[in-house]
Amino acid sequence: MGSRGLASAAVLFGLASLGSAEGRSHVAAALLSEAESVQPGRPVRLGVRLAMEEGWHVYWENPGDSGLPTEVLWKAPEGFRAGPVIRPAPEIFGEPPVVNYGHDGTVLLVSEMSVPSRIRADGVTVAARVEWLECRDVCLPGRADLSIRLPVRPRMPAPSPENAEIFRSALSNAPVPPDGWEISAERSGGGLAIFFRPAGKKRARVRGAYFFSRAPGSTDPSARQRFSLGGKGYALACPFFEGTGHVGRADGVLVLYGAGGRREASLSIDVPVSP
Amino acid sequence: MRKLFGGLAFVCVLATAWLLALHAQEAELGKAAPDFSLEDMDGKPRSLSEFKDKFVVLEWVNHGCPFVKKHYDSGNMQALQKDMKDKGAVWLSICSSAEGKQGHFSGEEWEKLNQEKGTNADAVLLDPDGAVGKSYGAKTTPHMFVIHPNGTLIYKGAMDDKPSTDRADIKSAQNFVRLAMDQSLAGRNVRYPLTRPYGCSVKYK
Repeated sequence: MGSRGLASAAVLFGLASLGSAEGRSHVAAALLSEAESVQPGRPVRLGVRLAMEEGWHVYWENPGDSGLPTEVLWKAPEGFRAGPVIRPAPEIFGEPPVVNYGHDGTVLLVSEMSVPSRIRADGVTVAARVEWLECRDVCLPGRADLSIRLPVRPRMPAPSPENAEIFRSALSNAPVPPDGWEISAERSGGGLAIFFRPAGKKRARVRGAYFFSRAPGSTDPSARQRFSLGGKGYALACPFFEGTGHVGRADGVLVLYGAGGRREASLSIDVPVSP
Repeated sequence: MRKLFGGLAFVCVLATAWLLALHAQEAELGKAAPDFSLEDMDGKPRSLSEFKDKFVVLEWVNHGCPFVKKHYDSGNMQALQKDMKDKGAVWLSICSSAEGKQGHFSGEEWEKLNQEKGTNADAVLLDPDGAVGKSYGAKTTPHMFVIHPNGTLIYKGAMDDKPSTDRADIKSAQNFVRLAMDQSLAGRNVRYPLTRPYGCSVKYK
């Protein structure tokens, strides 16, 4: 029993061969599976967990004025295919002229992996290379090569007792589609104006908003975004990054704040920008 | 009442003028690069206006930053410095790290560091209060600027097009500073005058 317990722990918790290129890393990386096994034809969710020491942060897909995006490169057997990485809504770090978008604490970067309908082996190994830049007052490049081995079973996989809650919590904090919102965007002066209002039966009282553009160099992280309530509903004016005259789409995460500056919602939006 | 409005209007005009003045200080592409005066590592004041009629390259530096290490440990930065100087440019490395922050060194320490790194810069200028860094909008180390002999800013941005800390990326990277200088020397327009810089944040106070 003892040795079996050890083996299954190793299976579910692919440990990091972690390290930063120089000095000790302040981020612990691990590869987790939501389920205990893989069933042919049924997608499986895998996640890279980054646990940061107090005061350290890593970066979102748009790092902002400095830093580097955190990247996950999946390596899986033939027929398996990793979907896009689902990241939590970013936080703001720093102050002008250097403002960054990133994460601190512990984050789970989730990917849904499609699974072929026929698998000959009784187990599969999925690997992920994770690259990040970790910063506090100083920065260090970090990297981990992680892997996880999962048994292949013909039946529906049972959720992993250790990991199911971690995945549930991560996915419930991820940006959501803007269901129930009417959203449009247009170019306005030297920036982007995003208009949004609850549609249909939806009710919401928004006291503030911030737009995290997915594309680096589109909106200016160091510029103040202006929130207002007008005839078209709520509006958020986001100045462009220096040298950017126009962007085709407002693609990113629109965070809505309620009373007391609390985050009420993080909407994943991608709307065309009328010129 | 009218007096009050008059007073308010005056305050508004003042505020606007102040904002415009603030904005005017920012280094803007195609406009005159703001002059500055900073001490070098010997404590001697140096200013941009000393180098009138020459190309000037400004490099924001912090030797503790892994992006800066990438370009110095590989010899890429030193080679670029030599190349630019051979083509007639003056190279000024500027350090805006505040006292107590990463990359801040005394003049003596800089002298040692420069020898160790084998820099080919003409001078290292110290900007511990960050005023010059902020007036140029320097965000990262490295962050590169090229000033034309006529005094206008012709390049502002990244070292190259491979944002990483990996030395292996240098070989295949397009160096924007070299490109800007070469195109300008050939009397052509600079193809990428403004790029998004990459690196560590400048360690302002």
